[in-house]
Amino acid sequence: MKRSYAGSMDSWGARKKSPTSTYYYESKQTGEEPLTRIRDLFTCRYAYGRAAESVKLSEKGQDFLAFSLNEDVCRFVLCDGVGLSYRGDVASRLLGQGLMEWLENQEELSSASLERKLKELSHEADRELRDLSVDSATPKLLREVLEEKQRMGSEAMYICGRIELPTRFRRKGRLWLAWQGDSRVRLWHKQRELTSLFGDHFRTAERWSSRIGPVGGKPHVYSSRLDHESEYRLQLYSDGLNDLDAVMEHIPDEQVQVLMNALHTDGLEDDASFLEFMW
Amino acid sequence: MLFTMNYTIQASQRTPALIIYLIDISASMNMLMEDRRRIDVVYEALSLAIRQMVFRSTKGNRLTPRYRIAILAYSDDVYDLLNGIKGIDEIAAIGSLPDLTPKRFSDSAKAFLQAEKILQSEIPNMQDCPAPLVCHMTDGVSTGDDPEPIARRIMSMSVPDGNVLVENIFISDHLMNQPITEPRRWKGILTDTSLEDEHARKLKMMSSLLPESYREMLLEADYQLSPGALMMLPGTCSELVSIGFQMSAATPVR
Repeated sequence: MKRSYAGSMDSWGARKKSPTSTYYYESKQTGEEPLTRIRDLFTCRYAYGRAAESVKLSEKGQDFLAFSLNEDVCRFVLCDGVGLSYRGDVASRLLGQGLMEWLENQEELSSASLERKLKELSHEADRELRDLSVDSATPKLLREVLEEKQRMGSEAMYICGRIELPTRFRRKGRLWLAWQGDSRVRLWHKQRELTSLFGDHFRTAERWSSRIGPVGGKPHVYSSRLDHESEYRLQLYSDGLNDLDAVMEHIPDEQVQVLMNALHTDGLEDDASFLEFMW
Repeated sequence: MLFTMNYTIQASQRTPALIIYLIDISASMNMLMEDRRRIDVVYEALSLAIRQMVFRSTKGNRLTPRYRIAILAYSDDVYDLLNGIKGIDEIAAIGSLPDLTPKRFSDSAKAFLQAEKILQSEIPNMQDCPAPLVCHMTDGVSTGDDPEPIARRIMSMSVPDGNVLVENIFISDHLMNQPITEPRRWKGILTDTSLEDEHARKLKMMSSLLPESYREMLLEADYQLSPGALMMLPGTCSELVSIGFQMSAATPVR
């Protein structure tokens, strides 16, 4: 769902202009998004793809990606639904939309207010997930397992954040990030990778659950001031793109798309989301 | 192709795991364990393992065939209970496992031979899949030929993910010199663990090292097996039998 936009957009050479000042993107989960580039105060690249298995069976992807660009502020969320939990696609969407709303409306971002929001979202999601029913024609053993999973709740890993650039009215900008799980977030400044600033806190066992909120510990939070310097690059991707782990340098658009197409493995083996901001 | 040999390939629809169960149905399986016939304890544990595989194979409301299974029951003959290899989706559609009825003898060599044949025909098409696993459950001495050379041949077969794994669950009251009072805290049988029973020592020689990826899956289920543990379980109580069957289904999944 693209809502509106004020910069320029390159999507494999296509360029469009839009009259308003905000760009909002939300992955549909039912289709692919080829690598798209937007140039404004931030330069942004994003892409979304489902696992080949899901494409073949016309199933929803379990990743969820959303971001908004509004002049000098951007907000973003990347969620990876846990495939083994009940309806990971629903969990990642509910969590992602809830976090985007929170990032939009919450003036001061903090660990405590995020935890409160995650708990609140779990109550809402739990109600919605309980309303889903298992088809009565489902074989007994599968139905029992699905009902057991439904009782255990739905889970998703996430990374979310907000970048506020310094302006005339805001002397210092701010980078604020929070996450639970093993999706990747990496930061470069002037081509030097600074990802170690986030610590070794990307664990598969940590996630959000529709039943109890944060699981495996509290959310990890990173916050830093931003000055007027440029040449920053913040990159987020889900584990379906773990081939990027070894890539330190800037990766051209075409190469990202090659990874998203994954022709070498007849399509993606897992859902893959890619989001990058440069400023 | 990279030869990783570390048992990390995840079971998926495109790269399903193959598990071959060899179940001893000799007459002694009628004996009681915790007031139930041993065969009933095994049936329940195997059913639980199948349920666990269904659990790990559901995505959304759909069951993806991430596991392929063969169940060979053996006495003086081998009985292919599923008529070949079946996907976990097909087994779930049937709803329950075929009955296990104890017969007379216990010729495990014949069962291992049949497993070897299955593997010889399957392995060429499994080069991108997790290493196959043979899970053998017995409660006594084999009455036929020595199964160890065949098990050794099986353990030397391989795919890029690793050598074929062989696991043994040995139902016996006299296996360990110390009773296992807390199965969840038990560290497992290590290469230097001494065993009381000669047949158990043979089965130990026929048991693969527990891959780290399997150990991590079992840790998630709160079983504390230590690094270096063998894929061998003393079935001195129903919980240990159950751990043994859960171990067989601990292939990493996406």
